[in-house]
Formats: sequence, structure tokens, C-alpha cells
Amino acid sequence: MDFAEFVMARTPALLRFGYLLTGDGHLAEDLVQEALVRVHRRWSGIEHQDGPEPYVRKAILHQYLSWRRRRSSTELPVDQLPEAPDPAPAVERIVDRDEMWSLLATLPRAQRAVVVLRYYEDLADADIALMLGCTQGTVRVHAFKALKRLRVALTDPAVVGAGHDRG
Amino acid sequence: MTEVERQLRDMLSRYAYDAPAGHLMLSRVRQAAVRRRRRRRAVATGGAALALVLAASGAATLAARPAPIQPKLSMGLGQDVAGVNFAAGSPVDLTFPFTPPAAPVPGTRPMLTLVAGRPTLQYLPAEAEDTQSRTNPPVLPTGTRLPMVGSDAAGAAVLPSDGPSASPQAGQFTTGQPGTNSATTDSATADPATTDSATTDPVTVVVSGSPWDDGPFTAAIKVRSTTVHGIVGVIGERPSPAGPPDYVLTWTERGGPWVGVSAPETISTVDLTDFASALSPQPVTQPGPFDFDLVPADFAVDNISPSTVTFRPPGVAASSDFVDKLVVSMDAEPARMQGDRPVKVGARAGWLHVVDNVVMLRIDEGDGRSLTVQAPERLRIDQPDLLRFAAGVHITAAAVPARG
Repeated sequence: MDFAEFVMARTPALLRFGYLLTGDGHLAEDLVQEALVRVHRRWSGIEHQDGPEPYVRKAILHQYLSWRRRRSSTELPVDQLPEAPDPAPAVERIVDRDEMWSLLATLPRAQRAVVVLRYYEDLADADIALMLGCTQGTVRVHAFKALKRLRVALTDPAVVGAGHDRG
Repeated sequence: MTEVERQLRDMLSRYAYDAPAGHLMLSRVRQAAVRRRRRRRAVATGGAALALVLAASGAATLAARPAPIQPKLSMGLGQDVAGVNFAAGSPVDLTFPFTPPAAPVPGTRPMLTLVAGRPTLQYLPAEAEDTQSRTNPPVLPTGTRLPMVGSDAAGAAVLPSDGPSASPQAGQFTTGQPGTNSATTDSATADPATTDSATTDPVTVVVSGSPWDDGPFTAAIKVRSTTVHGIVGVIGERPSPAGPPDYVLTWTERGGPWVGVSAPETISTVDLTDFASALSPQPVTQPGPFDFDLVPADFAVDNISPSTVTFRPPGVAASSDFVDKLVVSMDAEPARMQGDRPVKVGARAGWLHVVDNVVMLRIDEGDGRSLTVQAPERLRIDQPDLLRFAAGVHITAAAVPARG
């Protein structure tokens, strides 16, 4: 598969991945474009390895994690999460998906990346650790914190407020 | 799996399909790769040239125009994302491939604009389009360089317009005037008193380099054929939110562009055809509202109005809006807004603020007018470059402040 064929075939999937990471269509396009430009320069070496897609996805992920914060002022100043309530009420609650999407934007980037890789890409923690360049324990900590934060926010929306970090 | 995890999975699957389709991704990647190669070469050769100049003279020389700005990085993605190159500016004029006929509806005046990359001629109510008074505007010969309508406070030449004493000319609608074109039977109700140009769509001519697959006339329903310039055209009907439906007449010039004319249905199809036939295929050029010392390289100019110019970056589709574009506009209001950060823009005072990921730079012209340069953060123009670009924007005599 040459580079053009790869881009034509895989761009939609890569953009879905980028969009779930960023929550913004334009930024997703920028992420994917940047990753593809990098891959383009090294295509002949990459296509003979495990295939270019893992490489491109890793590039997208690292690019996302290394962004300069553009809207850090809207980050949520929640260093210490309040005591987690019994999760049962949150579990029983009928949660609007749009609310969940908004809450996703409040997660730190590493946590959001783990959430996307685990619950959208269905990757095992070991694979996620490889992609992120960290240990499986770190992946599990990110996942635990993200889920805890979401549960708390769903139980008490005031904890999160309206701030989003889309950048 | 917990309930939250299940909901998370469902939500991600659902939102994934809101992602953009990325139809232009391949071309965007190729353009970015080319830009990056150029930038690397420029940096290499620029460094060598700089060393040479410093060694030879030991002094810097100021050029008449600012040197092209090398790409820099600022907001947005990481370190390797290309920014915007600026190149020496050239006139941003508007060329319309036809000489406009006399105003088809009394009390209207022709105005040329560029809308979504398409040269557009509209006949707007004179009082709405221009509050400046004019008397006996001269009719220009074809091929003349035209001033922007609304620019000639001193009564300089303007596009030909109807006047109280003007006699009907080819293409001028004669509705409601007894003893004129007998073919205008279906426009008998459209005399000037009832053809309220403020509540109907203006007569509009749009020229396109491609068929109307997504253009302004695609909603028209074909009703009949006609002939313009010896070429078969089609007249259709299109609903209009402003009032009665519009007639639209489209045809393709021989070896030339696609042309569409729209007019309220109160104007007869015969008059519409006559008006279209009176479009003389001799181009006219009209100056834009601004001169630019620097322009963003590789960007396309896709909108020009008497108060605004928009530059569209590669990969962004032509449109009439400002989204994702570099926009320069002029307003008849003070530049300074509360909470803005003061900056120097050349010799002028400016104020910066950011709203909704868009950098807004307002510049005080010192005469009650202000310039606004609007740059989405995603274009990654850093502040020094933005200020240099803005310092090179000069309002021409053709500019008319934006309203509203």
C-alpha cells in the first residue's frame, strides 16, 4: 500500500481517533495531518515494519499529549477530588451522553487518552502502556482516576462546572 | 464492566462519527510536506545569505517593504507544525469578466464583490448601499478600471447607474413604464412603486469557474430555455425567503465561465434575458478596500467587499463566512475595547484580545475608523507576525466601513 492509498483508506478512522482525543474536528484534522506529514517522510521504512497504522496512531497520540495548553485557564482546579460518594447513585442514574462527552473534556490529557484507547480502541492495558511509553500500572492509575472523576462529576456536576479543555 | 464504563464506551462509539470526513487530507498533507521542505531550504539558504551579508557589510539594510516573514510557531500544535508564510503583497483587486449594464431596477446601483471566490455583481438600493451623495455619475467606457462603489466622496467615477433622466438602455427593466417594452407582460405589477428593492432579493450576477454543483443556483427548478449571447441558457425558479421567488438564468459562456443571474420574479423572464444579454464580455477591474504590504502565501482571496477582505488557507473550502480565515475589515467605530491589550502596529496604536480561539487585533486609524485583523489561533500566526502583517494593511479610497 503506498502512502496515498493509506491516507485515502485510513483517514476516517484516524480522524475518529483524533476527534475523540481532542473533542474538536479542526484540531483532530491538524493532529492527523501532522502525524501523516511525519510518516510521509519515512514511508519506505515504515510500511515494511508492522504496518504504518500503529506508527501513525502513536504519532497522533504523542502529538496530542505534547500540545501546549491553549486553554489552561479553563482547566479544572480540582487537585484533590472530594471524597467519592457511593457509586451506586451514579450507576443508577440515567446519564445523558452529551453530558458524558462534556465531562470527558474535563479530564487531563493522559487520562483522556487512556479512556479513548481502552474504551474506544479496546486495547489492553499492556498495549496502551506501549503506546504511551509507560508502565501498565500507570495506565491503570490513569484509568482509575478518570473513572473516579467521571463518577464524581456525574454525581455532583458542581464539582466540574462548565469548564472544558478542548485544546 | 461498570455502568460508567459501559456508558463511556457507548458515548465514544457514538461521538466518533461526528469526526470530520477528511476528504482533503491527502492534499493537505502533501501541501504541508511541500511547505516544510521549502521552509527547511529557506532556513538553510537564509542562514548562509545572512552570514554573507553580515560579513560583507557588517550592517543591516532596511528594505522598502518588510522582508517576507519566515514561518514561526506559536499557538496550537507542537513544534513542527508549519505556520503561515507571508510574501510581499500585490494589489487585491476584483476583476469582473463583464461590464455591468445600466441598473435594471430604478433606484439601484451596481456593486462588485467577491463572494466565496466568485465574482459577484449586485444591484443594491442606492441609499442602502451608499449614503454618500452623488450627482450625475459618469458612465465609464468598458474595460475601465473602476473604483469600488461607495468610495468616491468627491464624486469620482462610479459604475454606471440609472438616473432620473436616464433613458432605458439594453438590459434595463422597463416595468411599469407605459409605452416601453411590450414583451414585459408578466411584469405589469412590478412598477418601481411596487418593486420594493428593500424587501426583494437584488438582481445578482454570479460568475463561477465551475458548474453550480454547490453554487447559489442549484435550488432552481428549470422552467424554460432562453438564449444569451447566442448560447442556450436555462431559466429556473428558486424560492426566496425575502419575498416572491427568484428567477435564475444560467448559461455557460463559450470556453468561459458559468454565469448566473437572479432577479425577483416580479421581473419578467424576457427582461431578465435582455439584462443578461446586455452583460458586455469586457472585464472591469475594481480596487479592493485595502492595500497589503504582505499577504499570506498560499492563501486564496475568497471574499472582497467594500469593507472586508478574507484570505482562505489551503484546505479550507471557499465560503462567504470568516471561519478559519484571516480576515481584514474596516469599521467606523473606535478601535479600543474594554479589556483589550495595547500593542503597537507600526506607527499606529492597536489593541489585542482573544475570543473563541480567534485573535482580534483592532487598529486605530486616528480618524474615527478602525481596522480589525482577525486570525484564528489554528492558523498559528504568532503575535510579531500578526503585527507586521497588520502594519502593512493600508485602507484605500475604495473602502467603505462595515455596518452593523
